[in-house]
Amino acid sequence: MINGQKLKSFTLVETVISIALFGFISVILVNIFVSSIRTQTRILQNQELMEQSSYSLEYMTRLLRMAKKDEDGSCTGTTDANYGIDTNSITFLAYDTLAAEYRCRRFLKDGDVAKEMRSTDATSGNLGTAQAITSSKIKVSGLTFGVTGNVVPDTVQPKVTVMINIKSGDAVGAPEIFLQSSVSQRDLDI
Amino acid sequence: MKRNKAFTLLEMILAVAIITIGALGVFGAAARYSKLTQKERDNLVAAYLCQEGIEIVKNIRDTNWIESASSWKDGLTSCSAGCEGDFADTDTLSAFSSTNFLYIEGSTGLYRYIASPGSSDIKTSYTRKITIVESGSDELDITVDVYWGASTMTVKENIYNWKND
Repeated sequence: MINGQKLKSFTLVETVISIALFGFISVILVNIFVSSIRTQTRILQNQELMEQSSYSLEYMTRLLRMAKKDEDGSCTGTTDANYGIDTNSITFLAYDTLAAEYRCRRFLKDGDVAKEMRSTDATSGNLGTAQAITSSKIKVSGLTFGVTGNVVPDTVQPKVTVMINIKSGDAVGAPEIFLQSSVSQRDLDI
Repeated sequence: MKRNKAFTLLEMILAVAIITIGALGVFGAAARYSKLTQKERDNLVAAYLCQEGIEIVKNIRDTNWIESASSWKDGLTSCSAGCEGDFADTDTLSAFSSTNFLYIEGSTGLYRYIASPGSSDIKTSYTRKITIVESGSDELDITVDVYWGASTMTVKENIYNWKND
């Protein structure tokens, strides 16, 4: 009793119920928050995949489309071939806009990264060090090239197909993309 | 004596319900956005497959010029009802069937139509129809439709007999 007033306090039952309710709501909110963050991570991974795969595919096909027949075979390794294809790599004469001439170039998969090598001339012997095209944060698990009509004297227009398979990580269920496109060479191969 | 007014049970239940509905709404939006991103990714793959379809047709036209075929549209005139076609086709295209799906071929690692798929070939949900209509003696209208699930992507392109001998 203070100044004739009765002090009113919570009963034990009230306290227990309020704590239980508070805990219940907290657990729900935290769960929703965590799964929202997980969803957002997944969304960002997917966006990264799309950006990386379409950028690298556009970058490669742009040059592959304008490739030139390698008459002496010093770049592709085969006389009169348009493209030299090996497991996970393609070598060809690409137009170098800075040098204003055709120079040998190679696209390859090195570990989990797609890379390119530029030569200082039209031969593969002077291919420099490999520079990355894709980010090291993602995992390029496949970079495959297919070619038809490659070596003259066939009478088929050259066409290159590029498939890039990118994963956002090693985790099970990590987003993955299989992106493929083909380009028919722009200049007639005659 | 001032009486302390407490929340009634009904008020509490209502408050909890409102909070829960709000939180579920946020969560639902995030989940839907995630599904949309996946759909966007499938769209991107489909767009590139459409482009590939156009390139296959262009490649056959160019080949016809190189090999001096009887016509610049050799092998392309039988596709008014739709054809299949993958990267290995350089000559003719076979007729489209909506039950044939594109596979990721185990040996080449590329999207292909495979008549009898083996265990290393991965089936995708994509089918691709290339429709070619002759809209003039020197013009072909190409329509490439890529179908997956309930979705379709269509790309149209006209190619011409620009190489005048």
